[in-house]
Amino acid sequence: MRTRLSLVSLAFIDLWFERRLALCTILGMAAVLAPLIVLAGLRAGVVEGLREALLEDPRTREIRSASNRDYPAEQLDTIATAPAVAFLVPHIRFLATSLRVRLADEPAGPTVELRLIPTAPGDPLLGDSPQPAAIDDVVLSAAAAAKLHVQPGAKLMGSVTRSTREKREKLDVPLHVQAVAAPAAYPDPAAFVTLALATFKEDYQNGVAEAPDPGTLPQPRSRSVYAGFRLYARHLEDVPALDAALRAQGLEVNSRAGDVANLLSVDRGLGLLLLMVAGLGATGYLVSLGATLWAAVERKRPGLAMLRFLGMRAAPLTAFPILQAIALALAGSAIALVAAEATAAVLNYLFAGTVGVDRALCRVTRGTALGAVALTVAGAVLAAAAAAARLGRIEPWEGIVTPS
Amino acid sequence: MTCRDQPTLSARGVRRVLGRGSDSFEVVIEELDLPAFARVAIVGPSGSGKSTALALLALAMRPDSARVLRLNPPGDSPVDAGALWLARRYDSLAAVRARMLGFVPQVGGLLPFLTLRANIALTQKLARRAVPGRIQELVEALEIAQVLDRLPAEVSVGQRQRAAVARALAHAPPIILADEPTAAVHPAQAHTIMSLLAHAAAHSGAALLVATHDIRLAESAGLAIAPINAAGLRGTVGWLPA
Repeated sequence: MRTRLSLVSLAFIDLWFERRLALCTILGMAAVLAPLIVLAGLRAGVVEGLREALLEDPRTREIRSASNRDYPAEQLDTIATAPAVAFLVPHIRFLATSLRVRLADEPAGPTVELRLIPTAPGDPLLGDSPQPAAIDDVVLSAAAAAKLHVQPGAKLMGSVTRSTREKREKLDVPLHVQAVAAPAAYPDPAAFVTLALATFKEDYQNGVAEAPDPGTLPQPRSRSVYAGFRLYARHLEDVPALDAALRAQGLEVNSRAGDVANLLSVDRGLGLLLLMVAGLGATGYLVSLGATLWAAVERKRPGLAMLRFLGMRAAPLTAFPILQAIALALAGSAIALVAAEATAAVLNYLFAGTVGVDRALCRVTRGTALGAVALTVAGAVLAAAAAAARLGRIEPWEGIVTPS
Repeated sequence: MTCRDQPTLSARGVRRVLGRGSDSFEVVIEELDLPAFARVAIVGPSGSGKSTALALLALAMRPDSARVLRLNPPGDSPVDAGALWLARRYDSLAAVRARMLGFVPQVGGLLPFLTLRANIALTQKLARRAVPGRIQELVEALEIAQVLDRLPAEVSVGQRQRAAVARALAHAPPIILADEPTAAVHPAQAHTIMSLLAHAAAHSGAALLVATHDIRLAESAGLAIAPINAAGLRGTVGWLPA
């Protein structure tokens, strides 16, 4: 233990003795490493930021049927279970999605026309907000809530009309506002409803469902076909392939597959570009680091040979420059991280809002910081170990005949 | 045979070729027995192989061949250094050097980043042999007590050499080797340093072997003379009784 302590203290005393040279080495490391960290931060900020922004908007992953036709429920079930599909809900015919709504306690009050959007648990559009559970539950879009001046808990009355040969019928459907969705969920006045309510409305208008008894809720009937669907890919990368697969099945769909493919292409290109620049920089950095530390070991060779002559074993002698290299690498990467953080702060201030609100242009993540330190320490240890390996073969007489 | 008669260091047919091609030359220690308590100077002109012979005896230079290279200090186990070299047991040789040898190089050989005090204490640490009061005793005798906390670059050449002498003696080794220990100091200091070295070695009971080109200096310090015979480029070092 005493010998180890002695070795560590010797290594650090030597570093302190050559503190000006050590400082030059540390600053040299930091000068090369800091821009690399900023580069990695920019990649995280710009590319990852764009990707996250797209991921945060579920509509980027949305694929919906382009036209109304009969989609067998079994086919939709099969699509829903595909690994690339995170969520699927059938839709009713577009013409049946319009519903006039008023406040329940104001029979003569103004009405607002809402778009009915069938939903189900796990709908990415609603995110964390409550989902309609009962058939009379609705989640209003922010625009609808604003138009109706209502908050969660409000009672509404929906009005459904149909015309048969004999007469024109009107059905009032009581609704309960369970929640108001985030503004980003849907920009226009709309109500997220259970598929049961949507299909009941469609069936009632088509004359295949009867009005419920007074005071009771509508009773949906089972369906074997739906007019459309809305689905979400599990990952952004799945969108183009999923779009193509559905089209290959003869389904007409709308999606942002083209935009996503472009973004992914930019992501890959930019990622590759940054990787090449960072790779070149990192390679140069490691070569420079290795040369510096190799030179340092060569400079210390007479002193280390003297230690060998005086009786130091080969292993601690080899550890001597490695310990110093680790200390230099830690100091260099610490300064580089501080410099990179400062640069990132300036960049984020100057280019605030460039990649979205509240999103930083340059993000020095913990992973980047740890990676930079690990790269530096590993490179330093490798370089010092390569140089120190020669020390293990040093002939002790070099220490007693070389002037020091 | 008394303890004084027992060779502390024995060498027979220890050879090392230096240089390459036509510039190469061989240094040979044909026969050397260094008894305990002996004080001997290997004397010869520059280029006669004194430093190489000393490096071979100090186990600092690998011999090309060695019939006998053995250390047998009083109170310690004998060591066949030739066999250790042959078996490439370099760490064992390092341990032997640390425990049994003290060495004074031409120009001090102090580690520049350690104070004189730490340099002197280094041999005790590496030998794992702390001798209470010995360093204080040595630095007072060598008159460097006032500069112990300075770095080698902050003291005179003479003080550095004295510190090197103290370092060579600090761990009380049974064998002390010195290679031209006065070469870098002012002639007026040379006698003082040589005498101090001889006196300190005698005081600690160590055998002393000094390589020098100055026979008068060696004689004045009471050292027996062992001329290195540089007939051509071969040398034979022998023990001449005082």
